[in-house]
Amino acid sequence: MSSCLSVFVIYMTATTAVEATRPPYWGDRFEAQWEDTRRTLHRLRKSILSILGLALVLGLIFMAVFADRLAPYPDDIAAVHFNRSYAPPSAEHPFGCDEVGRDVLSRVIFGARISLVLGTVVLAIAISVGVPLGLIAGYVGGTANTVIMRLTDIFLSIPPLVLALAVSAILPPTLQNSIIAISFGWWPWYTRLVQGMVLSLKEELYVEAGRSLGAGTFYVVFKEILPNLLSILIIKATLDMGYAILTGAELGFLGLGVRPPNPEWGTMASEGRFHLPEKWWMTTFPGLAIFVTVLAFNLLGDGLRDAFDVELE
Amino acid sequence: MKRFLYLLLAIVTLVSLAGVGCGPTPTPTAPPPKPAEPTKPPTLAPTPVPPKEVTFSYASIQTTATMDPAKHTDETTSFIVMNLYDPLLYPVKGGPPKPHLAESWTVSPDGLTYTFKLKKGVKFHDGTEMTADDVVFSMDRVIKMGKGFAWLWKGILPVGNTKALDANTVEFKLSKPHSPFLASMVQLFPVNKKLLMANKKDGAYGEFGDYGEDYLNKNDTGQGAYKIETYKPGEQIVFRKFDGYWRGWKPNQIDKAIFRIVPEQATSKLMLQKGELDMIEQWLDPALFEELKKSPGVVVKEDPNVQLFYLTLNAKRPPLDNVDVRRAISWAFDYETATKQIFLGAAQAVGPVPLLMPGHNDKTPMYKRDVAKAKELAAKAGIKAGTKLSYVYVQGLESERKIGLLLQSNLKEIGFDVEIQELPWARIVEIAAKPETAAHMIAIFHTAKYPSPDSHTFLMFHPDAWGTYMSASFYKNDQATKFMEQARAEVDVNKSLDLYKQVQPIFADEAAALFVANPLHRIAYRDWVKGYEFYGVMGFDLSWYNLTIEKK
Amino acid sequence: MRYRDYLARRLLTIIPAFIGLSILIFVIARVIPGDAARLALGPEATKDQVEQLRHEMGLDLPLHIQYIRYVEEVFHGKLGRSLYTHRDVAEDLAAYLPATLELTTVAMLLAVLVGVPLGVITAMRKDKWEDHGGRLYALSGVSIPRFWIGILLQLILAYRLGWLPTTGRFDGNLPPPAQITGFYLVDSLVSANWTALGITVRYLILPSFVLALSPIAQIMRVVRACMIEQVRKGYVLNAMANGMPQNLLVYKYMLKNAFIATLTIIGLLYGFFLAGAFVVESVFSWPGMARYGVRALIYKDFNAVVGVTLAVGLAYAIINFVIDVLYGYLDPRIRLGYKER
Repeated sequence: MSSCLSVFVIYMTATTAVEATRPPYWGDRFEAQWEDTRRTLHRLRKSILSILGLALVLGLIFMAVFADRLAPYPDDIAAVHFNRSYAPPSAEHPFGCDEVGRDVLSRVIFGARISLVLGTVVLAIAISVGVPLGLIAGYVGGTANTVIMRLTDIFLSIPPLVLALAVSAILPPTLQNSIIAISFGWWPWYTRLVQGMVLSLKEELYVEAGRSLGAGTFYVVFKEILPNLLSILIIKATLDMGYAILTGAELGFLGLGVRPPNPEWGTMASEGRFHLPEKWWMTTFPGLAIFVTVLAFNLLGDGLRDAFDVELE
Repeated sequence: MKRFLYLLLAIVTLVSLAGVGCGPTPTPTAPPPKPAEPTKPPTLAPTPVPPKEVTFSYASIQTTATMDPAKHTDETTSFIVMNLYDPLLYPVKGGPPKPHLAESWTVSPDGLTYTFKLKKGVKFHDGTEMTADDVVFSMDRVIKMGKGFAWLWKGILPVGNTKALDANTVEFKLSKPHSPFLASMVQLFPVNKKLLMANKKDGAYGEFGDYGEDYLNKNDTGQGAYKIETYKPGEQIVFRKFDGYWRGWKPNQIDKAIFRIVPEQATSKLMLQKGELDMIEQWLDPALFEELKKSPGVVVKEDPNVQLFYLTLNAKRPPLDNVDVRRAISWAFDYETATKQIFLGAAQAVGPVPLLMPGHNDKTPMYKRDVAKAKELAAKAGIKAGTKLSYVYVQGLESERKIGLLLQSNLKEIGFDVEIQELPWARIVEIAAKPETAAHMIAIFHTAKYPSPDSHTFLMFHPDAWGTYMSASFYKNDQATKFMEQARAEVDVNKSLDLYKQVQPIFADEAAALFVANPLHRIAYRDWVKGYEFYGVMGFDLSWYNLTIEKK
Repeated sequence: MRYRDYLARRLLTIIPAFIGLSILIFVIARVIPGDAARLALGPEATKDQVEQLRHEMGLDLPLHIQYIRYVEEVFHGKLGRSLYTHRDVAEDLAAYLPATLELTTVAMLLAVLVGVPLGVITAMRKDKWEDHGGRLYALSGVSIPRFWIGILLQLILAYRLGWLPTTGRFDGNLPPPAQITGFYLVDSLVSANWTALGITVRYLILPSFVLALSPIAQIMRVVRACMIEQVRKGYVLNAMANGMPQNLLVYKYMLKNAFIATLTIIGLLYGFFLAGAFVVESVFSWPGMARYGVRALIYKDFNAVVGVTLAVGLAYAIINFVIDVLYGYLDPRIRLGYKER
């Protein structure tokens, strides 16, 4: 899955950068005031959703950190209990049991660990590779810009999932390798985003002013440009967290995920497919976990976007 | 005007994209695909299928690599060949093979010369009659090409030792006595010599060119009950009945059989339940068959099978080179769970030779789960906690995956950390070829390749047979090797079987492999499919000719 | 004139990127573990045979020479033999690509036809319940795993209720429409085969809907944002003041802008469709290029991996170029006065 919303960010920042000048705000004072009130109300209503998102994300992190204490059957990452294979949901096993009698709820809880680690590391790699490259390309310009941006074009000329699939095919299926495969197609989006923003920021006066006052390049980049980028990067990273997890799940579903018995949600859902429609719980609950997780990050990202008042959509 | 130009540019680019999509050669000047040929009246297409055609569809996850009767190796390629071609002899459940294309045969007292009389009037799909010449050509072709089942005859039947005595008599002169030879005739499928030679290409075989290998990638030259109608590798194969088939046709037999490759068993199961398929493959997980038993209109047929499910234990790869480690693994494994909960009613394997195979030794020692003993042996061998072992199984086979999870959990108790890896079948075949590339353990379903215990001893543990997926244990025992060679050379069937019986306890005692189970053969089909029979030799049960469709 | 330069420049960035992609994928595929020669020959091949084939396939040459040879082959319309189907990959792609293009194109049309009106509605009813519903749908639409919703819909609509076929592209027991373009919709229309058309449509509904689910949400949000922006701009207000009827306004001025906005993201969305096809085709056993690609990946069939990836890259590049052209056609600002950044 391509980081679709991040695509918006790029497009919208690109277009706003091109347009540079906005049409003047319209309406008389009264109209403006009324609009202000409406906006506040709207924001408030939306903040409920973003607080929900935040709560869900915190809950997920909590679940991942304390998985061994929260999971009713913490041994079920590796242990098999064939005597309760395919047990349907019950009081002891609210999400039922899988084909070798492992408690699905426990595995879903442990799965949060894998997904969050995957999302976090993919983003860490993408940001630590993509942002510096984007800064260099945008700020230094010239040959560096050309080389970096042409390189980025190569990686952007194919949807990230397809690139991740190709890369994961050459590597043995482990969490580490899934992360590498996904990161492969992820960093260029940050390079392009940052480069575009640096270019437009560079034009702005205060950078020019900073320069003429004798500030060094390093200073300009880190003290002036980076803080401006920060809010957008945070929002994009939040949204991308969800998409990276989704991509990881899709790799798992296609059989290129982690090695058994690790409880990766996409792999679990894929394994449960064998037993549909009879053993629906094996597919339904891991899928639901993915959905809720991605939704949580989207809600939070959406809320952050409003909080920072960044025009992304 | 300019707007128009840009629109035109857009359209042209789109059309060229479509051109790339439709033709294999994306030349820059590729003409746009023409809409329809105006000369063709569109009235032909909407006519529905001709009435009363009996169709049948079967699904498997495995794709086909070939339909060449000199190249088939696994179940899928085998049953395709078996529908297009007939063998000289036909397998019989639990007994010696019966006459088929060969009506009768004689064996010389020294066990070296086999003479077969062929049935007269057997026609190939192009209408020409099959003769002894075709059989000679086919045998030499298999041996020279060296693929598929060539290893059955390699080293015992030199090229040129097969002769046509007259139009209907073939003689095979072996270079040494070989008791499984007669049984191996179920794997010899004569091709149409004239047709193949008319379609040969340049190749490595002198006057025979490429031996028609290229032609057989897309065509068949058989005399079997069915011929190829369409062949889409990786998708489906359509078989059409051959009107001139020598065994004749009865009502309700299948006119058109469709073999569909459905890579997800989950999907094919749903399709069978909905009646979109008539039959699905035996490789489904037994638990799925249990679910199918409860589906209305679906029959799950269970047969005792001449099949061994085992894990190879790569004796060339530490720590499995230590017999105590192999024994420890054999004591640690939970056979009870594997046979009852995973294979749902299989028998625990008693040594390598399946219980139903003539020549099975029922005094072969068996292992039972005994963790204490296993721990003791592991400790004796100096195994430290966390020692890594690799387990490889066939992609998509749920039962093998479950075995892996069970193994992982069992062996953890004695200090091993099992890494489970699924690989496509073709890749397993590749890694199994060499001790360095073969995993510690590989899950194998070994169905009898011919009705002889040789299939489950020699092919698994004789150094000459190393290099196939069956022998990835790379286990060698000089005494056993000697016995197996003697057994092959022994003309007296009973003496030969006795020798095969003697080797089985050796393999069990030294844990040459982890002998898990003799699973039941299960297959599921709609209740309107009649006449299904299981033969115990790989692929023959999927001969569409034996089936009839009786829909109400 | 300038617009033409712009297009030329776009082409100049697309082509090197595509060449770069081919090198990247080629290197990735050659690193795939597994001896392609042995895989091709099967277990019984001797060492000499394997060596000979390795030589024939050029696997013993340095990587850059192998790449050059590969490119030469490509210009002869060959993409190398698939280990899996034993045919040339170009042949395979020709057979499987139409199915994928048909699915993705139908999904794209569906996404536009549903997404744009939804975007207009949510914009018109900004901050009303329709808008909130739309936002909720947008957020869940992009969050839901495609394979999961695909499986659930398959189970409910196809298996339980029996309204739609579970899997595949056409009824396996019936002959597909006469092969003209490989697009069943077009073929059955052209040959006036209404039965086949009906069957084709029934088989298309579920997979294309699942594929379009998230793009609908994305298009909806973009159109909504664009429309709101338009309202903010003066001309709508002017027109209103001049007494233009509201409906006409919406259709005449805003819709056009909405479509332009859609166009900006549709190029990127097409990449999304192509990637989604890998998942959706697997769920619905759609006999397309993506499913072929997934299998190639699993079977380490490197010629097929390279072929599929390049085909995806090419389709993506071409669609984006077409969209650039259309964009210029629709938006006179760009066509007439494109300025460099």
